[in-house]
Amino acid sequence: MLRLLNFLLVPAVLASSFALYKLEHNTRSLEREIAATQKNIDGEYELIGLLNAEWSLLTRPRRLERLARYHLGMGPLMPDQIKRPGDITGSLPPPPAASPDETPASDDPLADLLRMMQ
Amino acid sequence: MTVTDPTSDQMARNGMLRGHKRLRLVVAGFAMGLAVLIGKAGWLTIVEGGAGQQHARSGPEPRIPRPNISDRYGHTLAADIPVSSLYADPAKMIDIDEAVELLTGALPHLDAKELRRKLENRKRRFVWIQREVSPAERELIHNMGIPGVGFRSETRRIYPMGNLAAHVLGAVDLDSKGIAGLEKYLDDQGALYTASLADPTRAASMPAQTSIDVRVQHAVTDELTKAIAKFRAKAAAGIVLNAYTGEVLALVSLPDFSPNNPSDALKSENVNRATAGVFELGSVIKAVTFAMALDYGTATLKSQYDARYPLVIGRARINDFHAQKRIMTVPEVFMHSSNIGTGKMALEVGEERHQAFLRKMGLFDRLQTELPEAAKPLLPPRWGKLVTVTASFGHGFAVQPMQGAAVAAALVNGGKLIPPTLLKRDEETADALAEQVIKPSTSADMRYLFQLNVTEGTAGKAEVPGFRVGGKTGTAEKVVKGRYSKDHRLNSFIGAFPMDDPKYVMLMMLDEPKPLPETYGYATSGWNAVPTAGKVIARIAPLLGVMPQFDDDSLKKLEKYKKERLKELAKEDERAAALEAGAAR
Repeated sequence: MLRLLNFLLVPAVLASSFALYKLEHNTRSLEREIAATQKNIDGEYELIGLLNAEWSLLTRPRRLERLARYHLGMGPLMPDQIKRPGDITGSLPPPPAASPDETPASDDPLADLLRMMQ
Repeated sequence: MTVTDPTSDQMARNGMLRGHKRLRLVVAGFAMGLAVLIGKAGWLTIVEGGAGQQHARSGPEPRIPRPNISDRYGHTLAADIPVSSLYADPAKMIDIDEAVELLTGALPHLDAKELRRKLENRKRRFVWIQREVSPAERELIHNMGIPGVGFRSETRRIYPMGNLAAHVLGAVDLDSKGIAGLEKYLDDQGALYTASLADPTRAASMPAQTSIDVRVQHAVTDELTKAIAKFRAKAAAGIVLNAYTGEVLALVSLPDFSPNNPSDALKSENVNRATAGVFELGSVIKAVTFAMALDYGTATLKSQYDARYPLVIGRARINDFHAQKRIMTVPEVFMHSSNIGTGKMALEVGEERHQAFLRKMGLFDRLQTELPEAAKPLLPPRWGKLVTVTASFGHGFAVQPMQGAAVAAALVNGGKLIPPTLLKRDEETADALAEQVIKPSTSADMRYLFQLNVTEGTAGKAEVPGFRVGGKTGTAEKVVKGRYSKDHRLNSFIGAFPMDDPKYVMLMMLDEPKPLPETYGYATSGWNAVPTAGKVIARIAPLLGVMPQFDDDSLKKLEKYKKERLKELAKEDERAAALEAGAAR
C-alpha cells in the first residue's frame, strides 16, 4: 500500500516540479517583457519630450515672423482685414431655393435634408 | 520455529548499517553544499561588498528631474532633455593604450595625455571622460565595446524659445535647482512635488502650465525692443493681463537674458522690472484717485475744478504740466492730466479715506505672485495734506508695475481686484479670489474716462481704429541725485481693450526715452510709450480674438491710421534691412 503510494508520489513530485519550473520560467519571461516594454515607453516619452522641445524651437514666434515676412511677404494685420463669417455671406453663391411643394418639415431636419437631396 | 532466522536478522542488521552510512553521506553532502553557500555569501558581503558600495557612491548624485514648463496653449518653454555622459572605471580597464586611442579617435577634441593620466589612476572607480555626448558619438563609442567605459544618462534643462519670457521662467543652476522665476517657485513647492510633476509615466504628470501666451509675449517683446532702439531708452517693461481672471498673458522686462545661460539671470541690469522693481506710475495712481473720488461720491463726471491757479499747500506750489489755466470738468482734468485738479479731488476725499482706499486697492502691500522676485512699494513716510495731494498724482509713491496692472484691471472690469497669477487659472477660481473694491458704476465711469482719453486726450496715439482702446498716460520725472529731474523720465501707459467690455489690460513702461525730431522734441509718454502700446494692441487684439467694430468715426480714422502704419512698417523694414546688412559686413 505504502509502496504504491510512493510509486504514485514520485511522478507527482516530478510533474509538479516541472509545472512549477515552467510557471516560473513563464513569469520570468513575462517580467522581462514588461521591463522591456516599460523601457520602450520611457524611451518614447523621452522622444516625445525631445520632439516637443524641437517643435518649440522651430516655432519660436520670432522665427516664424521672419519667415512669414521674407518668404511670404506677410506683415502685421490691419484692423479692417478681420472679417466675421457674416460679413462675407454676400460673396457666397446663394443657397439652393427650396421649392414650396416639398414635403413639410418634420421633426427630423436631417431626414428632410436627405429627402431634399434625393 | 522460535529460532530466529539468522539470515533475515543479518539482513536487517546489514540494512541498518547501510542506512546509517547513507545518512552520513547525505549529511556530509548537505554540509558541503551549505559551506559553499555560506562562503560565497560571506565573500560577496564582506570582501566584494565594500567595493560594490564604493562603486555605487563614486558617481555624482543624480539631478532632480524637473517638469516641463509650457505656455497656456502647451508650447514648451522649458524642458528636460536626456543627454549621455561618458565615464570610465579605470579598475576594470584592460588595455589603457587601446582605450585612449579609440576614445580620442571617436572624440577628437579629447586631450590624449589628460585622458591617459585619468585612466592610469587605478584606484579610482569613476572618472568623467566627457559630459553631454551627442547621440551619434554615443553610438560610435558604444559599438567599440571598450571594457570599463560606460554611459550615464543625465538630463539637461533647455529653453527652446531662448530669451522669450525669460523673466517668467527664471533659470536653474548646474545642479538643476531653480534660482529665479517660476523655476525657483517650483522648487519652493518642494523637490518631491517638482519631481512628481516630471515623472512622465504617471497619469498626474503634466507640464507646469503658465498663463503666458507666447504670441502675445513675443509681440510685446518685439515692440518694446523696437521702442528702446528708437527712443534710446534705458529699459522697458510690459504686462498684458486678462482683466477677468488675473492671468498674465505677457510679462516683458528689457533688457532680458537667455535662461540657457543661467549666470545672466542674476545680473542686476537684467532684473525683472515688472515685479522686482518699484516705479512711480503716475498714470495708474491718477486713475486710482479718480476712481476714489467717484466711488466715495465726492465728485461726479459733471463736477468742476478750478485749475487757474497753482495749488498752494504750506510752502509748496503744485503746478500743471500741460497748464490749461481754466475751470475744468472731471473728464477734462483726466484728459489734460491736471495735477491741480487731481490734488483737489483727493483733498475733498480727505487724508484718512485716501489712505484707506489705497490700502484697499493693495497699493500699500507687497504684491506676491508666483515669482519670487517681488518688491515692496515705496510709500511716503508720513501722511499729511501735502502728501495726499502729491500721492494723488503719484509723486513719492512707487509700486510694482504688476500692481499697477492689477489695479487698472480692477478699475475697468467692474471693480473686482484679482491677484494676478502666472499660472493658468479659470474664471471661477478668479471670482473666488476677487475682492470688490469699487462699485460697478464707478468702473463704468472709469471706462468712459479711459476711452475718452484715447479718442480725444493725451493717449490718442494708442488708438487702433475698431478695437476701442482706452488708457491713461503717465510721465514721471525720475529722482536723480535726490531731486526730480526734468530730463530723466519714466513713461508709462495703462490701457484696456475693447473698452465696451474690457477683457485685456496692459501696462507699458519706458525708462528714460529721449526726445526725437519726429516727436518734435517731446519725450512725454504720449509720444513714446503710448504709440508703442498702440502697436502692441494692433498686433495682439486679433490674436486674442477681439473683433474690430467700426462706426463712422473709426472708419474715418481707419484710412489715416492704415497709411501711417504702413509708412511706419516700411521704415521698420528698412531699419531691419540696414541692421542685417551691417551685420553681414
